[in-house]
Amino acid sequence: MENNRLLSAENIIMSFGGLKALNDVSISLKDNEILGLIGPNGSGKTTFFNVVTGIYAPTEGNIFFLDSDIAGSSPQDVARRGVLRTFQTSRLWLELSILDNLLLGMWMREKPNSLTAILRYRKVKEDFRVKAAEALEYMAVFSEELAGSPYRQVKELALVDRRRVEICRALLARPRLLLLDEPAAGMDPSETRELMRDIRKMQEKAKSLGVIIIEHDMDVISDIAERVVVFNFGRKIAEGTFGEIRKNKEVREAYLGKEYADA
Amino acid sequence: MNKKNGFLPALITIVVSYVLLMLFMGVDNLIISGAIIVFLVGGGFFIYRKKSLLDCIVAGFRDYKGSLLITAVVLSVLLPLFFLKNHYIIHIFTLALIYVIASVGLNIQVGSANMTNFSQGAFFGIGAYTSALMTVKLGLSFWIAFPSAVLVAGIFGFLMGLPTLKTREFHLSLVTIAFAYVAYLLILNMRWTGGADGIAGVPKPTIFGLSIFKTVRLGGLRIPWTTFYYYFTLLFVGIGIYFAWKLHNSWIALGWNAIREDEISSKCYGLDLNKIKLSAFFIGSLYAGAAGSLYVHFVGFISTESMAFSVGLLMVCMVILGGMDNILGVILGTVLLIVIPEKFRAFQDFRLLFYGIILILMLIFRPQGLIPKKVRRYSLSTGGDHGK
Repeated sequence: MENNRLLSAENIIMSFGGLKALNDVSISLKDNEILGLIGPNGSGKTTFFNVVTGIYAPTEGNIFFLDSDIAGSSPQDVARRGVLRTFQTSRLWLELSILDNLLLGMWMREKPNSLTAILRYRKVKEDFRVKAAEALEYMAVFSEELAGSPYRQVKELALVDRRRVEICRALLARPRLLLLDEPAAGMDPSETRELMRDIRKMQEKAKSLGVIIIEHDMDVISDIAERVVVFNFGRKIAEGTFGEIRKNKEVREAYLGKEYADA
Repeated sequence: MNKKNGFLPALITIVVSYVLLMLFMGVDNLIISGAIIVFLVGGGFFIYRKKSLLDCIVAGFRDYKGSLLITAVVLSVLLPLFFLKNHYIIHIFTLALIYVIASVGLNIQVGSANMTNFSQGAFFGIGAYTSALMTVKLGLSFWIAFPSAVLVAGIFGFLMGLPTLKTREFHLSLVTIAFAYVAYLLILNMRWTGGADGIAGVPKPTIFGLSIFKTVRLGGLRIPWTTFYYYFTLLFVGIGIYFAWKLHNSWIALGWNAIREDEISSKCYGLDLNKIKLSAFFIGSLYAGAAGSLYVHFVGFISTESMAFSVGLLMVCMVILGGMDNILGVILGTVLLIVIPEKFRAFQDFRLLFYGIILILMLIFRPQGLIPKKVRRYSLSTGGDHGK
């Protein structure tokens, strides 16, 4: 396998009963690449994320991440290897504060142990102080306002802000691969632009981080994705740069319907 | 925030509730007791509705933890001195303290990790039986029996945790209910546990070979032995709360909260759910074991009635009434549920009905409990602008 391959999903099939949500899908991602994943609703994009992150075990196929096969591993295991994700409807720990959520994002970097809490309380406190500072520094990149109110409960936040917290939480886990499931849904164009700028900024800061982004907003995809993969009915129907994809007839049919695409 | 204005209201709240509680226990008149309850509920409701006053008190509790803690300790230490003539009341308060230990442990499961465990009563019993058997049958000292009881209860908690790992919420509760009944029936039907007769004659602890739990006469003053056991238990309560508080402010408690809020999300961030759940069961059961051991050496007798399912249910009520995931709340809930029914012994038969009504009212009107959980605060190096 080539050295700069971060992720290589090969011939993934995911069946639910008779339905093949993913049918012989192969996707590969280079290190530091941003890949756009598009397709109509129900085309299997989120299922692909669920398969990669271990929420579902694929019916068939291999997923190589940094040269080890992670197909069928538990979500914990996949996360510990450095694959982090956000969810389409954000899944934060709602009753906890922004800062709690961010700190929990760093859980894997800590080796939490109940004995340390009792015996070395000072160390725990100091550790929290250092980590909280780092967390708020990250948060400030996305929103100064959120970083300025670290004790607000996440359930009080607007959906747009929850997404920001969620992306920040994922980044704090120091991922090698970040899967973003419609990060800009519900944002207005200027907020979206800002978010994409921040994501790119964080990616440069992280030095080696691959990103796969599911998005319906073609402005976002054309702006941020170096390469685009298109899904329809669980199959990969096209792959290439945004310019290439745009000209692809099958893609236009999938998105617009046959008669409009032909027109 | 103005730092000056929180302390006094908080202090007054503590002192007034304390005085009312003392009066409640002290007077021998049901009507006055009832009036005090009405006054307490009314006062609580008034404060609750008056937002500015409530915020002020809450801020006081947050900003003056140290001095208020000292006040609380002083008041707890003074408590038995009001009742030297009536040692039964000291007995009740000692029981309340013992139950505080058990419910603070249960809070780790029910409050922090949302694992509604109805078998804390069973672990309480396991601790009590371990301690009783070791001292009565083997003749060992309390100081060996106590840690053993704590550990045995912890191990059983861990073992019960194993089959719950695949379950959540109601199903998890069902497993714990089953365990409570199995433990109860096993101990009831085995011969070496004393069966239905229980174990009697459990000795009081000695300290360096001295039996200090004796009634003492100082001149004309008679100090009942329960007073000393009250202080003895208070010491353990202090240690238990101290550990619980440290755990509450550590990574592991964050993990408990995370699985309470969202398990899928927790998995995707590498949290080891099994380890986190088992640690909650283990640590919570340690507390139950400690409480059980202290109980049996206090009462001197243990039978399966002290570990029936209703005991576990009562402990869950204490956590829900007081406030889930809030140690102060759980203490309040426990004291209220032990102390108040004692005064209305005449209505003993309605006791379970009373718990049921309280539980239903709380779940409808204030599901977060009397003192709801607080957002965790950290010392932030960025200083003032990121605070508050």
